[in-house]
Amino acid sequence: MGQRCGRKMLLIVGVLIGIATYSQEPIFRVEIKALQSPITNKEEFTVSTSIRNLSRDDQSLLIWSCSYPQQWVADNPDIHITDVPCKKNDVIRIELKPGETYDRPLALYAADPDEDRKPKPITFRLGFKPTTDGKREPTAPIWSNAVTLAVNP
Amino acid sequence: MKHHLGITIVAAFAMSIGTAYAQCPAVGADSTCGTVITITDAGASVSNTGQGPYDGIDDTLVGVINNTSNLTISSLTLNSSLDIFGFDGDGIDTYGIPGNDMDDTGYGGPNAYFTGINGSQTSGTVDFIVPIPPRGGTVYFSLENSLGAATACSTIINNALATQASGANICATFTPNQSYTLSQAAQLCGFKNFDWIQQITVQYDPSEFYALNQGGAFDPMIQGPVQLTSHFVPWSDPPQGGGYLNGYGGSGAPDYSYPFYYDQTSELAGHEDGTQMPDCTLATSAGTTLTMHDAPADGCLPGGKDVGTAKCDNTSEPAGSYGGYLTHLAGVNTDGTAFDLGIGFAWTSNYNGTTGGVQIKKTNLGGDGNGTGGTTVTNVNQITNYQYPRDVGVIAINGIPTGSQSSQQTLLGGNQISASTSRLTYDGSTQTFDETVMITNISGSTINGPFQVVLASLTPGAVVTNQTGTFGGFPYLTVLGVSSLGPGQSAMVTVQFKTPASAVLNFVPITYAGTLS
Repeated sequence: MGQRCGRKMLLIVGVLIGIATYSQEPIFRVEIKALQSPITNKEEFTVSTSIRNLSRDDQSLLIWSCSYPQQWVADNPDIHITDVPCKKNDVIRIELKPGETYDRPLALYAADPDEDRKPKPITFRLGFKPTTDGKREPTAPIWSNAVTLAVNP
Repeated sequence: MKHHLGITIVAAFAMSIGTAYAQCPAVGADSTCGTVITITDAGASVSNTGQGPYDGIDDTLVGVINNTSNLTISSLTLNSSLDIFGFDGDGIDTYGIPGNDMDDTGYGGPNAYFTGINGSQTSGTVDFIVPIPPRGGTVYFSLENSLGAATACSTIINNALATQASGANICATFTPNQSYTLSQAAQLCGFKNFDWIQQITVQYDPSEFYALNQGGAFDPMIQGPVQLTSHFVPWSDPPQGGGYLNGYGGSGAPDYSYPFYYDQTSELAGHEDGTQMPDCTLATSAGTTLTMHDAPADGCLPGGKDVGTAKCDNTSEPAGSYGGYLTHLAGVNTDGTAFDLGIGFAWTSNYNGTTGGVQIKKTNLGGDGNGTGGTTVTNVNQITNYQYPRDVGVIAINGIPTGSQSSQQTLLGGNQISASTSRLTYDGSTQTFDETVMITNISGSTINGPFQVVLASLTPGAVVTNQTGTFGGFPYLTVLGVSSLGPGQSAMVTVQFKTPASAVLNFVPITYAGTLS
C-alpha cells in the first residue's frame, strides 16, 4: 500500500516537473533582419520583424494595426523606433499555427550622440511586447537576435 | 413643447384608427381592417390596427382613407420588404367579398386590381376602378403576408450600444436585445451582417494624415496620396483607396475596409468573437457582441512629437485642437454596401502620442497614456430611424412619387461637397437665430439628391425649430427643391435655432445624399 502510494507521488511529481519544463519553453521567437547596411546616422532605415510560433499549438497574437511600432523596444538607447500618427488604430488578432510567422517591417533610426564623423558599428536587439485582452498588464518583451550595422555619420 | 407634440400625435393616431375601422367589412377572422393607409395633403402614413391576418395565417385586409382636401386617388404604388404581392389564392374574394372583372387574383375586392408587380413581388400598384374621392373617401383590398406582425428591427437594435472612453482609447459594443445573436439580429433587420462606419468630422491644420488614394478612389482630382487637411472633412475612416499612407495615419499594408470601419474579410470576425479590446472593460460575448475600438494619435497637436517638424509644416495645430469622430452602427447589405443605422456616438480625441522624451522611444503600447490628452464621448444616439421589416410603404400616389421610397443614404465627403455657413442673424418674426448652410458640389461630376444636412455635434441645449428630423441623435434638414447638383453648383438651407441665451452655437454640417429615414 505504502509502496503504491509512493509510486503515485513520484508519478505526480514527474508530471508536474514535465509541465513546468514544458511551460518554460518559449512560445514565440522574434527574429529581425536588417534590410540595409551601412545606415546613416539619424536617417530612417527598415528592419524586417518576424514573430514565430514555436509551440505545438495554435497561438494568437494581438497586434496593433497602426501603432505597431509602439509594441517594440530597443535595448540600445541610440536606436529609436519611428512612431507613426494614427487615425484608425485597433488591435488585430493574428492566428499562428505551429511554425508560422507574423512578418512586418519596422522603421528605426540610429541617433549616435557622438558627432565624431567616423563610421562605427552599432549592435542592438529589439523586444516585442505582446498585447493581452482586456486591461493591459505589463508584459516582458520577447527579445530578438542581435543585429550589428555600420553607421555612417 | 415635446409633451404637447406627443399628445397631438397620440390624438391624431386615435382619430385615424377610429375613422379607419369604418372602411373595411368583416372578413374571416377580422372584424375590420388590419392595416390602414391614410393619405393627407402632407403625404401618406401607414398604421396597423392590431387585427391579425383575416385568414388566421398570413393575409392582411388593407383599408385606404383619402383625407386630402382635393386629390382624387386612382392608384397607390406600394413597396415592402415582404412579398406583399405574392398572391397565393386566398384573397378576400374567397371569404365572400365581391370581386371585380379587372382583378384575377381574388385579393382586390370590389374596387381594386393590381399592376406593375415586380419580380420579387415586393412592389406593385393598386389601381382603383372607381377613384377614391377626397375628404374621406375609402376603399379596401387585401395583400399577402401578415403585416405588422414581424419583430421590428428597431426593437432589437435600439438601446443596445455601450461606449467607453478610456485614456487614449475609445471602445464601444453593440449587443442585440432579446438575446439574439449578431447573425440572427442581422437577418431580422434584413442585413448580411453588422459593422461600424466612422467619419472624421473635425481635423485642424496642419495635418500629418494622408489618404493613400489608390486609383484616385479618395480624390480623383489628385494623383497619389492626399494630405487630409481640414478641407477634406468629413472623410471616412479609413478613407477609400487603401486607407492611410504608411506612416501618415496608418502603418503596414493598405486598408480596404471602406465604406466600413472593419474589413469584412480580415477584421470583422475578430470583433465578433468576444475578444475584449485593450483598456476596454465593456462586457463582450462571442457571437452576440460586436466591438469597436480605436486609439488615434495626432503628433501635430500641441505638445505632440511631430510639432515643429516637416510633418506638421514646421508648426503645430492651434491650442485647443482635437480630432472629431462620428461612429455609427451599420448594416451590411447583401450587395456589400453599407447602411448607416444612425445608432452611434460622437467623440473627440486630443491624444498627441508623445513619449515624454525618453531615450528609447516607445516602451509601451498604443494609446496607453504615453502622450497627453485622451478621448471624450460627446454624444450618444441609441435610436434608429430604420424601419424593417417595412410592412408596407406608399411610394407613389397616382403615379407621382411620394419621396419616401428610398431608405439609402450616402455620406458626401469633403472632397465632394463643401459646406459653409453664414453669420448668425436674429429673426424677430420667428424669434429664432438663423444661419444659412450653403452646400457646393466641388467634385467633377453631378451628385444626385435629395440632400440632407446633419448638424453634427450641435451645441447641447440648442433647438432647431425647422428640422426635418433627427439622424444619429442630431437634427437634420432636407435641402428643398434640389434634386441634383452639377459640378460647381450650390444650394442653401436656412437653419432656425433657439438657443440658451449664453450659448455659443456650434455644429459640424455633414451632407448626405438620399433619405435618412
